[in-house]
Amino acid sequence: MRGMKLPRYFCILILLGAMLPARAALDIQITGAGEHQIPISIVPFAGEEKLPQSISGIVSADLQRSGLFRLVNPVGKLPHEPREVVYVDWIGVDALSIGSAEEQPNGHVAVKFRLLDAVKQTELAGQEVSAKKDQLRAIAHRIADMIFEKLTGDPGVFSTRIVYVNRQGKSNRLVVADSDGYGEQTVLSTTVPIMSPAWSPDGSHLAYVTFEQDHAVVYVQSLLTNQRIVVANFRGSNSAPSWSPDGRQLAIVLTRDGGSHIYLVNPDGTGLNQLTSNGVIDTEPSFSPDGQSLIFASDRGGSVQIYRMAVEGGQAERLTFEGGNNFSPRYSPDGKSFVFSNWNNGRFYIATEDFQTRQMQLLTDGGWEKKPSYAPNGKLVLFATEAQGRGILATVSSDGRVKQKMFPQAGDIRDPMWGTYLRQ
Amino acid sequence: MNKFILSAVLVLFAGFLSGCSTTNSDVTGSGKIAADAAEKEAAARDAAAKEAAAKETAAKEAAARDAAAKEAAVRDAAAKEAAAKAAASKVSVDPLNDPNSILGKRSVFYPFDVAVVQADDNAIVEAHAKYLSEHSDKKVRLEGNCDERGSDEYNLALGQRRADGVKKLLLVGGVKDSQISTISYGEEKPKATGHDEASWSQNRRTDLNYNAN
Repeated sequence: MRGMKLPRYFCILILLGAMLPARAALDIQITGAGEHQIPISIVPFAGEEKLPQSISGIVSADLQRSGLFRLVNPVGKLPHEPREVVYVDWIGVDALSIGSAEEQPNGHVAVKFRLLDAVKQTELAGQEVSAKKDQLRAIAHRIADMIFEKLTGDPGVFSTRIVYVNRQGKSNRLVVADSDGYGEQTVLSTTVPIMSPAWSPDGSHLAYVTFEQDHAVVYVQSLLTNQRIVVANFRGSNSAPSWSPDGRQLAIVLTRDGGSHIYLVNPDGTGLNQLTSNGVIDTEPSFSPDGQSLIFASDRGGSVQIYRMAVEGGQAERLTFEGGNNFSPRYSPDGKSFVFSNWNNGRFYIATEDFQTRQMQLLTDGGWEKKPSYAPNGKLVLFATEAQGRGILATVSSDGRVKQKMFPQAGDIRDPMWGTYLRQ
Repeated sequence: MNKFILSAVLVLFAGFLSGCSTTNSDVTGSGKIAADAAEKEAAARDAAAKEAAAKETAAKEAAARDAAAKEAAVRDAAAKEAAAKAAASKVSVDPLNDPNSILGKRSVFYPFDVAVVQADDNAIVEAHAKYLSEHSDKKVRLEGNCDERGSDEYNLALGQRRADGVKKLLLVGGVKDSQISTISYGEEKPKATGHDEASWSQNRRTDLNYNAN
C-alpha cells in the first residue's frame, strides 16, 4: 500500500468506493506510480451526476490503473466545451478531457467528449455518441482507450475483457468480465474444478479444462451460442489449452502416452499431432504471436524451467536458468519477451524475460502469484494472487511500477487470462 | 424232504456266511439207508443252490457298492456345499475391509515434487498388489494429488506421474492392467487447505480408490 501515502490516490480510491454499487464484482486497490507519468485532468462531465454512473469517474479509474498517468484535480474549473477552456488555467497538465452527458427524450444518453492538448492548445480527439444507459460503462472505457492511445501511442485495453475461475466451496464458476471487473457473466457453473481458461484470438470462444467427466478434459465453448464441444478426452489428463494466433489450432497437454506431452489439435478435436515425447513433464504451452514457436514449462532438466521449440516440435532450447522453478510462461504480444511465475524460497513472483538479453526481471515483491498473462497492448500483466486469505486478481504494469489488487465479493479467484481487443 | 430243505437252508446260510464258498458242505444226512440217488440229487440241488446264492450275493454286493457310492456322492456334494458356504462367508471378511489389515491403508505420501513411492509406503503398495492379483475381479483407481506449490497445470502433470508410479508397482506385483485406472486431481482437490507443510504433506499423495467405477 505504498501508494496510499500519496494524497492524490485517496481521491481515486474514494471515487472508486463511491462508484462501487452492489453489482461491482471486484473491489480495487492501486499502489505505485509509473516513471514518466503523463499529467492529465479529467474534468467531470456536465450532467453526469444525473446518470447511474460517473463517466469521468470510470475514465479516471481506467487511466489510473495503467500507471502511466498522473491525474490532476481540476479544482473547481469545470469547462465542458472547448470554448470554455482558458488554457492558462491548465499549466501543469499535458492534456485535459472535457465533455457532457445529456439524457434525451427517448431515454438514451448523448455523450460528448473532447481531449485537448493543454500545451499546443489543440483538440486531440473527440467523440459524440448516443447510447443506452446500460452502455455507459462501455462508452467510458472507449473514451479512456482513446485518451490512452493519443497520449501514449499504444492502444488502450480498457474495453477488453478478462476471464477467470471463481471457486467458492463446491461452486466453481467460469467468469468473463470487463477488464475492471465489472459486468461479470458466468459462462459455466459446476461443482467440479475448472482450470486454465484460454481466449480464442478473436475473443469469440474459450478453451478450458474441467473435471465434469471425473478426469481433466479440454473443452471449447462459444461465447455467442454457449455451445461447447469436447476437444480432448483421452485417458489420463487432458489440459493446458493454448490457441494459435490464427485460431486454427490448439496446443494441449495429454498424459495418455505416459509422461505429460504437448500436442497440437484442431479446435473441433480432429487432427491430433504429438510434438514432445520424452516421458518427462512438458506443460503450459504458449504460442508465439507469429505462430512459429511454442514456449512451455518442463522438468526435463531436473527443476521446472521454461523452454522454447518450433511449432513442428524437435529440439527445445532452455530459456530460464535463474531462481528455483519457473512455471506458466506466456509470450508478450510483440513476441519480444515472455512473462512467467517464478518459485523461489517459498514465494511465487511474477517475472519477465527478454528474448534478446535473456535477463530475468521480477515485476512483483512475491507472494502467491500465479498464471500471468499480458494485456493485449503488452503494458499490463494480469495474474492470480492471494491477499487477506483469499484468491484475488492482480495486475502489474510491465515495468513493475504500478500494482493493482482486485478483490472479488465472494469466493477465490484462480487462473485469470486477459482477452484480446474487442472487434467493434 | 425236511432234511433236504434243512440242508439247503444250511447251505444257503453257509454261503451267506462265507460270502464266496466254493467247498462242499459237510453237513449231510445221517440216514445210511437214504438212497444214494437222493443224496446225489440233493448234492446237485446243493450245487444249484450254491450257484444261485453266489449270484445273489454278487448282486447284493453290487447293490451295496452302488449304495455306498451314492452315499459317498451325497456326502461329497454336502461337503462341497459346505465348502462353498464357507468360501462365501469368507467374502464378508474381505481383508480389504479388515480394519487391522494393511489393506486399510489406501494412501501413499510423497516429499515435495517427488513421484516415487517412498520406502515407508512400499509395503502398502505391495499388499494391494498381492490382494489385486489374487482378486482379479477387483478394480482400483489410482488418484494422484499434489500440494499447491507449482502451477496448477504442472501439478496436474505431477499428480498423473504419482498415480502412474503406483500403477507400475502394481503391475510388477502381478496386477493386470485392466484392473487399474489412473487419474490426477493435481492441486484441485486438497484434503487440507492450509498454506503450510502440515497441509501440504497431506495433499502430496496417491489414493487407491476401490469404489470408483
